[in-house]
Amino acid sequence: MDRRDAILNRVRATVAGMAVLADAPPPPSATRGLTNLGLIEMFGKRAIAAGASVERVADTARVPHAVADHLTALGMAQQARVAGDPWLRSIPWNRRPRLSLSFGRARTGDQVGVGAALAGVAETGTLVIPSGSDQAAGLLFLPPIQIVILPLHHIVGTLDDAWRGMAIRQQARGLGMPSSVCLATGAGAGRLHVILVGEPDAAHP
Amino acid sequence: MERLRAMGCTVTVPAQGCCGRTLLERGDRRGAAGMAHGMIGAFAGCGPVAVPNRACAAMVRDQYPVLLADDAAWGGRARDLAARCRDLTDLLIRAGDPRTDALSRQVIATRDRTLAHLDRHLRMVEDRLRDSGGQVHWATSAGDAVTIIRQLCLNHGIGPAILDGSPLLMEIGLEEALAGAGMTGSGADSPPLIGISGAGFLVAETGSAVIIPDAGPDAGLDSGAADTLFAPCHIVVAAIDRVVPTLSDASALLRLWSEGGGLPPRVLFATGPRGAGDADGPDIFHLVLLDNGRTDLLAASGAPPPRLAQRAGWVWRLLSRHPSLYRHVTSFVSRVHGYGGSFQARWRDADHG
Repeated sequence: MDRRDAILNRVRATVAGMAVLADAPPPPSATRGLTNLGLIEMFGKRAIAAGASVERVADTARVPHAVADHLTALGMAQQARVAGDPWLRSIPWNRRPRLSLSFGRARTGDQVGVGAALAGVAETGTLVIPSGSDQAAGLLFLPPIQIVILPLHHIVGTLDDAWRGMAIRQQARGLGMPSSVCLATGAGAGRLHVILVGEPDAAHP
Repeated sequence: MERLRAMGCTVTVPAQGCCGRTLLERGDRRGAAGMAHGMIGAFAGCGPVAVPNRACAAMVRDQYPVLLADDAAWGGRARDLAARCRDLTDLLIRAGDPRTDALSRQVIATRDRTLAHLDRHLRMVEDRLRDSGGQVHWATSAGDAVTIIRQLCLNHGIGPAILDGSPLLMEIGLEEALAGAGMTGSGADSPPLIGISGAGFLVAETGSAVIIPDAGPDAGLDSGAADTLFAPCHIVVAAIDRVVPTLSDASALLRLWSEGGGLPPRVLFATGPRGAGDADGPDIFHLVLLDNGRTDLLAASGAPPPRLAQRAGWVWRLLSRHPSLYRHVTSFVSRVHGYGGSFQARWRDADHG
C-alpha cells in the first residue's frame, strides 16, 4: 500500500492551494421546451446523422417483421442472437417462423445481435444500454449487425435525464451502478438499426 | 482566425520559422537556440501570441526561457515572449465566443475544480470501485504498471491476454513486455481470456472507468478493442489526472470528445465485475491507476499561466517516446484539419499572403 500512499501524498501536496475557476453554468439544452413528439423526431434525426438507421413500428407484434425484413434487405441469413430480456422474449417472434433466434449473451462468431435500450437520448441520438439480468451489452459491440428495439416512451431529452432514469431503476432494484453501461451513438464497428416501437402518448403529445 | 477577428481582435501572422522543438529533443541546444532567436524576433512587438499547436506552445512557453537563461541578450526577450504566449483554444474561450464554448467552458471549469481536489476524487474512485467488487492498484511509473499487470496475468493464469490500441497501454510499453513473456494471444483461434484496455477517464461518484474504443480509419472499431471488454478477466489502465466528479460531468466531456462534435460511436462505463444476475461482463475486474510523471506535470503547471503544460505536456512526452505513434498522430491531425503542409503554406493557399 505504500505506492498508493506515496502517490496520494504527492498529489495532495501538489494540488494544495491550486486556484479554482468560478463554475461555469451548463449551456441550455437543445431539447428544452420540446414536446414528446419533438423529442422523438429529434432522436431520429440525430441517430441517423450519426450513422444509424431508424424505423418506426406501431406495436411489438410488428417487431419480428421489421427484424426479418431488415435482415433480408441486408442479404443476411434469418438468424439472430437476442438478449435474454423478458420483454424481448415476450415479443411474438413466431409471426415470422423462418426467423431462427437464440437468446443469451453474444458469442464470438455471432452475426446479428438484437437488444433493447433503457433510454434513447434525443439531444445526441444515443442509446443507453446498462447491464443487468435482462441485458447483454456485448450484443452492441461484438456482432457486425446490431439491432436495438426502443419503446417510444423511453426517449428522453438529455444524457443527464437518462442517468437519472437509470439511477431510479437501479434504486428500485436495490442495486448501485450497473457493472457496465454502454452508450451507442450511430454505427460503430457494425451497422446499427433502431426500431422504435409504439404510438406517441395521446395524453402527453 | 475568422473567429478571432469576429470577436474584434486584430490578427497578424508574421513570417516565422519553426519553434525548434525537434532540434532540442535531439539534444541540439545551439540549433534550437538559433530557432528561438528567429521566433522571438518574428513576434517582437506583438500582443498575445496565439499558438494553434499545443506542443509548440509548450516549447515556447516552457523551454525558451530555460534554453536562453544564460544568454544576456536574449534571456529577457525569451521570458517576455513566453509570458505573451497563449494556447489558441484558451484564447478563443477567454475571448468569449458564445457559439460552442459554453460547453467547453463548463468542461474546463470542471477539470480545474477536480484537479484542485484530485486526491479526494481518486480515493472516491477507489472506494466506489471496491464496493462494486473491483480491485484497485497504484503504479508510480510505467515499469511499475507493467510489473503489476504481468503479476495479475500470472495470478489468474487463465490464458492469453489481448490488448486494445489505447495510448495509455502504448505509453507503458505493455504489448512489448507481455509479448516478450509470451503472454499475448491473437485471439483468432481461441477467445481471449484476459482483456486489457486503457480508460479515457474515470468517474468519481460511481468508480467507473470510461472506455472509448478507438474507431479505426475504415469506420470500424478494431475488433480486438471490443473483445477486450468482454473477456472473463478485465484489466483497465487509467491516468490519475483524468477524473470527473459525476456522471453528468462525464456526459459533458463525452460531447466534446470527438473533433466533429457528437459522442464517440461506442462508450463503455465499466464499474467492476458483473453482478450476480448479469448476462454479460467480466468475472474479475482490475483497475491500475497510473501516475508515470503526471504528478510532476501537475506541480509544474501550478505556476501561472496554469493548465497549458498539463494539457500539452503528457501528450507530448508520450508521442516523443514512440516514433510510430508520433507519425500516426501527426498524419491523423493533418487529415482531420485537411492540410498537409506547414501553417505558413496554408496561409498562402488561403490567398492571404
